[in-house]
Amino acid sequence: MRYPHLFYLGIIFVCGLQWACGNGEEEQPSPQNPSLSLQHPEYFPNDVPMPSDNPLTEKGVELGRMLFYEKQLSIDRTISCASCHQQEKAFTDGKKISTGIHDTPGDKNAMSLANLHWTSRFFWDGRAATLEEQALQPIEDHREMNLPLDQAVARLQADEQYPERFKVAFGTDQITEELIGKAIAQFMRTLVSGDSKFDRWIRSEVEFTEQEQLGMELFFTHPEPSLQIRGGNCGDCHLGFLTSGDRNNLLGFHNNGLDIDQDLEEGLAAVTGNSRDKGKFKAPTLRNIALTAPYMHDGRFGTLKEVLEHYDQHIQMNSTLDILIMEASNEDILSGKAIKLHLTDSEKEAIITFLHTLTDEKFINNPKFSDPFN
Amino acid sequence: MKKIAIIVLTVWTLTACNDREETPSGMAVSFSFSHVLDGNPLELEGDAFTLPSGESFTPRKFKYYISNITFKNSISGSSYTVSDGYFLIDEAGKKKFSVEIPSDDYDALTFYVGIDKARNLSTDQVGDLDPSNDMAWNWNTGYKFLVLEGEWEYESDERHGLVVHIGSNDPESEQNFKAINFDLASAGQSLGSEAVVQLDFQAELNELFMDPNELILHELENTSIKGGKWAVNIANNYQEGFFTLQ
Repeated sequence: MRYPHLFYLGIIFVCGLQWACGNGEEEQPSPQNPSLSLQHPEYFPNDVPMPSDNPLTEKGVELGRMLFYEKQLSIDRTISCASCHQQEKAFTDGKKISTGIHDTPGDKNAMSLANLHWTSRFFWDGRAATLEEQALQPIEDHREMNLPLDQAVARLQADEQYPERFKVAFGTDQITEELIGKAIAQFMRTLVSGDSKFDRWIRSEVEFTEQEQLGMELFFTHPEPSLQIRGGNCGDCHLGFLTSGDRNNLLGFHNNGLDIDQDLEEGLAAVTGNSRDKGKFKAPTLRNIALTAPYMHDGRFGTLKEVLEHYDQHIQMNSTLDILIMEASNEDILSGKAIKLHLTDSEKEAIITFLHTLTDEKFINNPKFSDPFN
Repeated sequence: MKKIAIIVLTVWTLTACNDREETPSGMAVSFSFSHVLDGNPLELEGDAFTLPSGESFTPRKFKYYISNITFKNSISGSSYTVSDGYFLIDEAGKKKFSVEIPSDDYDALTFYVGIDKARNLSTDQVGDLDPSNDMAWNWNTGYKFLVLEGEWEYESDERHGLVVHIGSNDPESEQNFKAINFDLASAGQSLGSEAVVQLDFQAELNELFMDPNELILHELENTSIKGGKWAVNIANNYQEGFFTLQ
C-alpha cells in the first residue's frame, strides 16, 4: 500500500506561494501584480484548471486575505469570514452551529477550508457552483454577516485603501460585488493543506506506526466479508489523497444515515429539487479533521469516536441512504437486519489514529493565511 | 539568442524528417460511448429498469476504463497501439475521447476494458488514472476496471444495493482485463482516407447480467460483487456482446 513511484519524484512541497511567469498569454500581468501558480503536492490532481476569468495574482490573493479578515463586511462591523473560519482550527469555529452577528444562530456547522481548488459545489448543500459565488453568500446572509452586497461595495469604495488595492489587483478602482467575490476566492484557493504526516508518508519521508498503517488501510477499504477483507468504508466517499468528495459535480454528496426518513433535512434536494437528493450533504475533506470538531453538517457529534460509533453501529435506514453504506459490513449482511459495520474497538482506534495523521501543523501556522491586520 | 536556437532546431527537425521516408499523415479518431439498458437510454437517478431476471433496477453509477487501443490493417499486417492511453468513461461525466494515430487502412480495432497489469499496480496519473476519480481499488492500489452501482427490488419494496466493482489482473491470465475486438471492415468503418474519424459505440447493460453467465440478483448470497467468481462471470459477460459499433 505504498506508492512506489513517489519515491522517484523527490517532491519538494513548498508550503506557501511562489510566483511564476508565463501564465499571462491572454492578460498581460502587470509588473506590480505578478501571476501566482498554486503550489501543491504533485499527487494532488493536476488537471483542475484555474478559472480563466479569475487567475491567481499576488495582489489579488493579498486583497482577498484582507477581505477575509475584514470586519467591515458585517453589518455591525463585528465579524468577518475569519470569525467562523479560524486558522488554528483549520478554518472552523469549534461550535456545533455557527453564529453570525449578535450571536444569531445559523443552522449548519462551519466547514473547514482546505484544498478548495479541488472541490466543486460549495456549502453543505452544494448551493454555490463556484468559490467566487460562495465567497459572497455569508456576507449577505442575514444569519451571518447580514450586510447587503451593495453596502459592502459602498463601504470598501469609501475606505481609504481598498480602491487602490482593487486597482492593483484587478485594474480598476471601481469596486464591484463580483470583484469582492473574486478576491476572496483567490485567497481561499491558496489554502492548500499538503504537509500532514499522511503527506510525508506518501512522500516516503516518514514511517507510519503499525496502528496508523492499519488505520489507513481500514480507512480506504470497503469491507468484503466473503473475501475476508476488513474495512472501515471511509474512502468510498472521502476519496484518494485529498480525502474529500467526488469532484464530479454533485456526486460528492451523500446520505450517510444520520436520520430516518421523517427527520431528513432537505440537503442537496433543496438545490436540485430532486427528492432522491433528500438528506444528502457534501462529503467534506477530512484533512485536519482532528482540529475541526464538532462533526457532521449540524455538528451533532462532538468527537471522532462518536463519528466512528455512528458509522459502525447507528446507521439509520432511509430512502436515500448511500448504497455503499447500505452494502458495507465486516460480517455477512442479513436481510432485514440493522446496518452495522462491525468494526472492533481496536480497529476504530486505529482509524482515529490515522485521522490524526491528517493534521497539518504548517497549514494552521502558515503566516500567509493569518490575519493581516494583526 | 533564444530565437536563433528555435530556428536552428526547426531546421534540424525538418532535415531529420526529410531523411526518412515520407512522413505519414496522422488521423484523429474520436471515440464516443452511449449506454442503454434494455434498449432504453441509461439514466442515473431516474426511473427503475427491469433486468433480464425480472428484478427492478435503478442505476446510480456506471463507469469504466478503456485502454490499450490497437488499430490493425489485416492486409498489410501493420498495426498501431495508442501508448499510455487510459480513458475513463463515466455515464455521469465524460463519454468521449480522441486519439491521434498514423494514417493507414485499418480494418480492425481492439480495446480493453480495464487497466493492464503494468500500469494497474502504479498510481501514476497517466490519462484518467487519477486516484481521485473514485476508481482506485484501495486495498492494493490497483484500479476498478468497471463500476456499476444501483438499487434493486424484487417482489417487495425493500431497498437492496447492487455494487459491482470489477478489477484485478490476477492470476497471470489477467482474468478481468478484457480485450474487445471490432471488425471495422464488416461494420463499414474501415479507416484510412479521412483525417478525422468518428467511432460511436453503444454498450447495452443488459449484457452484464447475461450471456454467458446469467446474473439473478435475488438468488445471490451477496449483491456486493467486488471480486471472486461473480466478478469473473461479469467480466466474461462484458467481453462479448456488450459493446457494439454503431
